[in-house]
Amino acid sequence: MMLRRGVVISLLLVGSSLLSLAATQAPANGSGTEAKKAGSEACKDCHEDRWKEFQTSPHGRAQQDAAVLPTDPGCESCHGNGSLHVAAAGDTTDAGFHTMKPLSQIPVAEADARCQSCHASGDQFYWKHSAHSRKGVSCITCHSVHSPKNPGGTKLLSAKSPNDLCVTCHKDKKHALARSGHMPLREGGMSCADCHNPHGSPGPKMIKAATANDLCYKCHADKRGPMLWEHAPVRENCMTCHQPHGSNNDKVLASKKPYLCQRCHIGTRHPSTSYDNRDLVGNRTFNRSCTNCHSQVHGSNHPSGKYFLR
Amino acid sequence: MATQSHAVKAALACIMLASAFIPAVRAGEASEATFGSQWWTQSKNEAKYQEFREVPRGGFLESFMVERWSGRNLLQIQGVNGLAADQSTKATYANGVRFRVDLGYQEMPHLFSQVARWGWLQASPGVFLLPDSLQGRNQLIPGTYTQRMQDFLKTAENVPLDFTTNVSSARVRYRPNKAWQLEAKSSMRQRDGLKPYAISFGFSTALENPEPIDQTMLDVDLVADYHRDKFMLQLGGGLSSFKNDISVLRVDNPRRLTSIDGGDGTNQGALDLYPDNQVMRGNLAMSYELPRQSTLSATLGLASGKQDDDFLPFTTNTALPQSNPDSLPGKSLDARTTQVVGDVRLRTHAMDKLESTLRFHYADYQTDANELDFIGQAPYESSWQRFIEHKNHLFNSTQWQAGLDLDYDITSRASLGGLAEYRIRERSPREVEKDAETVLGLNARLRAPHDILLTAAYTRGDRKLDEFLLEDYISLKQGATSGLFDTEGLIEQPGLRRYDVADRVQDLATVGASMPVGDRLELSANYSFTRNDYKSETGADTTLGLDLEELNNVAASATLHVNDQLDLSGSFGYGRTLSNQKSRASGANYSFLPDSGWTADLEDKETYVATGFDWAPPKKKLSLSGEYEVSRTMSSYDLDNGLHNAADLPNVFYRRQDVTMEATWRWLARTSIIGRYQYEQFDMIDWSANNVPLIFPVTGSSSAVFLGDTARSYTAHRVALVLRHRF
Repeated sequence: MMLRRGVVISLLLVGSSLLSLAATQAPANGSGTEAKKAGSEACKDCHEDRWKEFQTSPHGRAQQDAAVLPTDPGCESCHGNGSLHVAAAGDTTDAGFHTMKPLSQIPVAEADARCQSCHASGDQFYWKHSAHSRKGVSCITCHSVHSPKNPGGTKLLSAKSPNDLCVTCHKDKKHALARSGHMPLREGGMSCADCHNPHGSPGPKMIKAATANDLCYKCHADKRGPMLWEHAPVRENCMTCHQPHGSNNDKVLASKKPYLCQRCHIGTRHPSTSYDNRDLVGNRTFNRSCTNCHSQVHGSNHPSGKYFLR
Repeated sequence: MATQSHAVKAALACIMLASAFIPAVRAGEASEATFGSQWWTQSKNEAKYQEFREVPRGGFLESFMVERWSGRNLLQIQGVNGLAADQSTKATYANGVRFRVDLGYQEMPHLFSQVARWGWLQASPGVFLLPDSLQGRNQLIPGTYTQRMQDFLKTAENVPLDFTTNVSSARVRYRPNKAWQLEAKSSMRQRDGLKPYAISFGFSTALENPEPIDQTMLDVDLVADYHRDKFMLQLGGGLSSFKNDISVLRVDNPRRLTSIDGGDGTNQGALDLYPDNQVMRGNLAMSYELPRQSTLSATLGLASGKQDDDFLPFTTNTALPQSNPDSLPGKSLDARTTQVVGDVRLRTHAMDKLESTLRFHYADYQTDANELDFIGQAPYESSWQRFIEHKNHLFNSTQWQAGLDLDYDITSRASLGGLAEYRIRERSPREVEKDAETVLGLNARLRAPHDILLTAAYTRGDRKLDEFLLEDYISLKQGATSGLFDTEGLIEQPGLRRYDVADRVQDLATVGASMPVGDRLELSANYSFTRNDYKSETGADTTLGLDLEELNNVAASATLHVNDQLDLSGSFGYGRTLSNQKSRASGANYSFLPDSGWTADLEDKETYVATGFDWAPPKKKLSLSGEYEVSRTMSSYDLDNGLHNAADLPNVFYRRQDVTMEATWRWLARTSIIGRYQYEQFDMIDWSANNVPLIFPVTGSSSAVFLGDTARSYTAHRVALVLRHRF
């Protein structure tokens, strides 16, 4: 029944998308004289400071390697062809003057397409399918070609660090990272970009792995197993128990022990016992709580480790 | 390991020194070093202050960067916290955009405790011994065990509970022509140190102990990208390996010098630490630009894993015949895993104003291993429990999801979006082997006049389990014969629905606003709400287990550019998380007692405030900056039982405040002197972590041994004088 419903919904999704593709209209044909390439040298006279700064920037230096780049990385590769702009000679009333614009003044899709003319592969392979792209986040939301703020960084970020950049929009994560249980992001030992690819990925939440667990195993390969005695929810998803962006509990746990364990384990005797203030004198609540004994909660490879005691 | 670390440090020091002799800078080159000396004090020796960092005393190299260009060749070396325990150094050589090499080295400390004590002697890596005389006396006179251990642990030495992760990485990228980009990358992660762990020798005799760590993780990947016109291809392959050089932890049982069958059992226990494992992986992705700004991409990933560590014997207890490895049904698990991941996405612009993304994701994980009948187990290594059948289970899971995202631009300023997704998850063995979730959502975005941006989104997910398999809660229990598990019975309450597989209705809502006020003030705020309501398949509330979870979060920020000299910023956050879980106490064999139901209502409240200022008048030598940040959380535990006599646990409270003040004096054109003061206050009240003794409880013969790694509140002051010089 459930499978049938899934198939029906999937077919509907496929159908609607193909229909929408078929119904696509041709874009309106532009009219008027089209600007042609004028070359970066033409920009020098009016924009001397910018031009000088650009020449020593990573993009400017890339001009020497036009032979291996899909597009000549000069001023016009980002700002558009400049012949009409140059011909306007600074006359802002001339329509040609406005044919060359900063990326911030052109539609997001068009601006991104210009960046993607060179930056389409590697880490940017999935950009067009990323949640950021779909939600109107542009390359220049995070990157500043002319005025990067991360010293020494080659990513030309518009903030001092990747973390500072991400939390400008993801404010709740800024608070989460300040919780007592956190990973070393606020200390600079990690960066949001260690786990997420902001340019998109085939995995969920733009993570740099196919699944959440695969991502965790990059640093915690010790937990990868497979184990003789698996703790099934652990193997299926680390986030069943952990909140990676920070929590008020030790080990970024989603809840405090023993209650976290007792969400799922209420079998006979002690797993089902109601532990309260009077039990602080017992070793099932205090200190490591359940893991005072069941330390191998990530799974055990010991023949006597079914209960994660060995 | 330590020698290797010293060698890396020496190499880094040489690189730093050598970089100072690189010829003078030219246009576009920016090299600088920031170094100084500092003094700090901390009211209590609490590890939290340096949990993931080193706060050095005396001289320190805060950061350095050397960048040199020679024609098209770039050499850049940069680092932070040079030679400290949390150092990070990166070196880049690039020949234009054709060829680039990146090398990196990073150390990440993780400090757990500086006050822990442990009386066992580590005779060899992972083997902790007690004096025979102590074990002997404890065995002979168990009545005075607690007092004797207390006396012994009083003299125990301090044990540093910390480990360091050293990450060495390398990446080589080569772009031979317009179409191809080739990349090879590797990282080696070495982890070394001690962390708190635990082993137990009986039902109420936990023993907290340090776990020695000596692990190496190696990842190597090769990626080739091809891009021509509308077609892109990415082909990747790699391997990942984990090696644990201390794979067994052996700890002397303080209660026994000689092993016996039953009672306190073995004289030494053994934990099987994480087994070595290896994974080979491959990845093929393609993307093709279709007409009308549409793009199709598809990814196929395959991975094959292996874990073949030798089993330990059932027990170290020589009084039990199962201590002989020959009694094992096999030598190792000899496990292979196969993972297949597929992802297909089609993004189209059906009309000028309508964009849609159709996506399909598939992930499959299968284990192929020896399925062995272990005949029984010795969970505490005190006595043997024989099972008429005791097989391991191989975990398998499959997940797939199909979704459609729609975005329609109503006007150039307003858009509406929709989301429809269907997810299926299968796994075995579990009490719920399949569930499906339908997710529907709406979102809106409005860019109002004056650059005001308003956003709102809501999604509802409805997850239903396919079938609940009560037989998964049934296992072998001890029958009439002591030590023989031959009788089938419930091992879990039949009314329990575990939250990761239970029916669930999930509501997610967010609203956000951002607006500039004039040219100088920028305001933004957002609110998010999550509600997970776990319903049983009959539609009623979950009988037992996690019942409800609700998360509320408000965040706001403001930046004010007062004038050319002064910038102010502030942010505020408030979060509240509620959860409710239900349970029912039972004795052996589910002899449910009357009024045995109980509930736990947990609440976490957190407040976050940060403010800062930057005063930097142009053309003046002095600039000032300051920041204040406070994060405060309060957790409460409202407990109730059928007799209404449950005593709530005390609230748990954490608060951390940081103040940083910095004055920068631009002494010379390229040299600045910085005076810095930092204050940190950490307050905590936590019933699980305060006042952790070495032996617990202090009376009774079933006392647990702890590391005494108690957590404490502290205040810290740090003063630094720093010089920043641009070369």
